[in-house]
Amino acid sequence: MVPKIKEIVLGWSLFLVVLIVWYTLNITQIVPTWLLSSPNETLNTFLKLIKNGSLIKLLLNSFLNIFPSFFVSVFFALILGVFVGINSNFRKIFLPFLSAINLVPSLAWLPLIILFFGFTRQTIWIVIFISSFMRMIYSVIGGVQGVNRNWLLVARNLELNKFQTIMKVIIPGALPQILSGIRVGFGSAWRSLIGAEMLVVTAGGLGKYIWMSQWAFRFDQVISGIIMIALVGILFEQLVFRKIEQATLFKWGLI
Amino acid sequence: MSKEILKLENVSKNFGGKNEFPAIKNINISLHNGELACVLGPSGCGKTVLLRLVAGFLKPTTGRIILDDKEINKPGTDRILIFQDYILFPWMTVYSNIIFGLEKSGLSLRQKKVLADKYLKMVGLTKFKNWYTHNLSGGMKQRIAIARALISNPRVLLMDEPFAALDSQSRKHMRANLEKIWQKTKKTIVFVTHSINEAIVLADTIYLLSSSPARIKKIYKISLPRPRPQYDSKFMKIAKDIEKEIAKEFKNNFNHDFKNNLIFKDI
Ligand SMILES: Nc1ncnc2c1ncn2[C@@H]1O[C@H](COP(=O)(O)OP(=O)(O)OP(=O)(O)O)[C@@H](O)[C@H]1O
Ligand SMILES: [Mg+2]
Repeated sequence: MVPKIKEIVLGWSLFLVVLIVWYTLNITQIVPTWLLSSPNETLNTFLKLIKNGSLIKLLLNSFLNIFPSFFVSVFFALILGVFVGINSNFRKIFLPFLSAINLVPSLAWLPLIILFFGFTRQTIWIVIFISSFMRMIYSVIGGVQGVNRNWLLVARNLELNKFQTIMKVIIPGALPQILSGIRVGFGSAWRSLIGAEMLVVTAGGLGKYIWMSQWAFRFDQVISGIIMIALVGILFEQLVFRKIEQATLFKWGLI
Repeated sequence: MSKEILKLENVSKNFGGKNEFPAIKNINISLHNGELACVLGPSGCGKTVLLRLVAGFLKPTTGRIILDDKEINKPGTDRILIFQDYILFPWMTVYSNIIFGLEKSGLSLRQKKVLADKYLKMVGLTKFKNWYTHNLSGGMKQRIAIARALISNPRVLLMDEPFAALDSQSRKHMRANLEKIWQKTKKTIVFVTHSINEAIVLADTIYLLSSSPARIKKIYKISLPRPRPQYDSKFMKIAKDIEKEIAKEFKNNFNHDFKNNLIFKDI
């Protein structure tokens, strides 16, 4: 019990430090108040934005910017990852190409994509795709290559064809790495999303909101937006992905 | 005597490209239907290679392996390999692991269920059918693997030191279990082991192998009535004989690894 309390106290300590510094800056007026609103004001703004639904609307807009593309990228990363993982010729073809792309931050593609697709949602989708796909693909490849050789022998012994072997043995066998790839891929997509929305403001969303609030010197709104981004990120980490892992890996005794 | 089912004719297997070395040399084995043959040999002599050749995962360098008058050249459900470490699928329940043996069969789900229930009962795991495998004991896991093998109705069961990872108590228990299952199903079994006692408890025929490369050193026909208690004087005489033979082999290979002799000690 005591170590648990200690963990909680330590875990919150840095948040507390930030809050104290923020208060101090605000009370001493080292930073002018029209530039830096107080924690209270910011909290009020945050709650107001939640209550009047405008933050939720922004969030839904951001979801629309991220999820269709994120799901598509999971699908393709899975397919390509499996093929590259099981076939050495595919590896020879794809790995050099992938590692070249991997060095380019996904937002660096934005100008190029805007050139072809303009300031549209499609542009954001493409950035999101690159961002999450590039993170996931390596996990899938690693997972597939790490599948227990003897599982594959059992599949061969029982005369499963390639497709059955992939669906029944390779993908479930690689699931620990696949899931962690999806998790990391989502984190990557979520970060790229906010950046992309700041540049492609026509697509709306939280990124645009933060960017626009900055022009209006609305520190409270900027912080509200940032808190929202962090909260949603944590929500996915702790609820969605944790739940998926509990329903699979925990249940099977794999973690 | 019933019909011959599996035959190895002058089977040799070499490994390595340039520095080719023989793992198995000129093995001749012939099993009749329903026979339980034990392969006894020192660590690293080539027992696993031998089973993988029969399973079709490896191809003989020379010689032929014949099952039911046909030369085998690839893996198939007519020869199922059972591993020392079970190789179950942790994402499947006990039941799903077992019907995985029917993946290729094309049976309906109902037919599969009937068969699964039969083999669950045979290995005594009916109560655990909906469990995942990670919480089960080693003996239970190996029984799942045996059920998964039997359900696909193989002609030959190939068991590679299946009980070597178990503690001595469950090992004894599993030997008795296997003997019952074998008597019930009348399967032909090739059973690889390190243990002299295990071989004498189970085998109709023991093939004693030399150290690497594996050659057949001696063949023992065991006709003691079953079940075979280890303190029986005839049992102990056979065990002594085999030990002597191994000691001889050890003398012949004086420079060859002291370890090999120890390996034969029963657990
Ligand atoms: N795929 C392979 N490629 C090259 N050499 C191999 C291969 N498989 C086995 N060997 C070699 O063949 C020899 C026999 O190995 P094998 O695994 O059959 O021995 P074993 O009798 O099963 O030993 P253990 O009692 O330890 O299980 C060893 O020297 C091993 O290194
Ligand atoms: Mg072996």
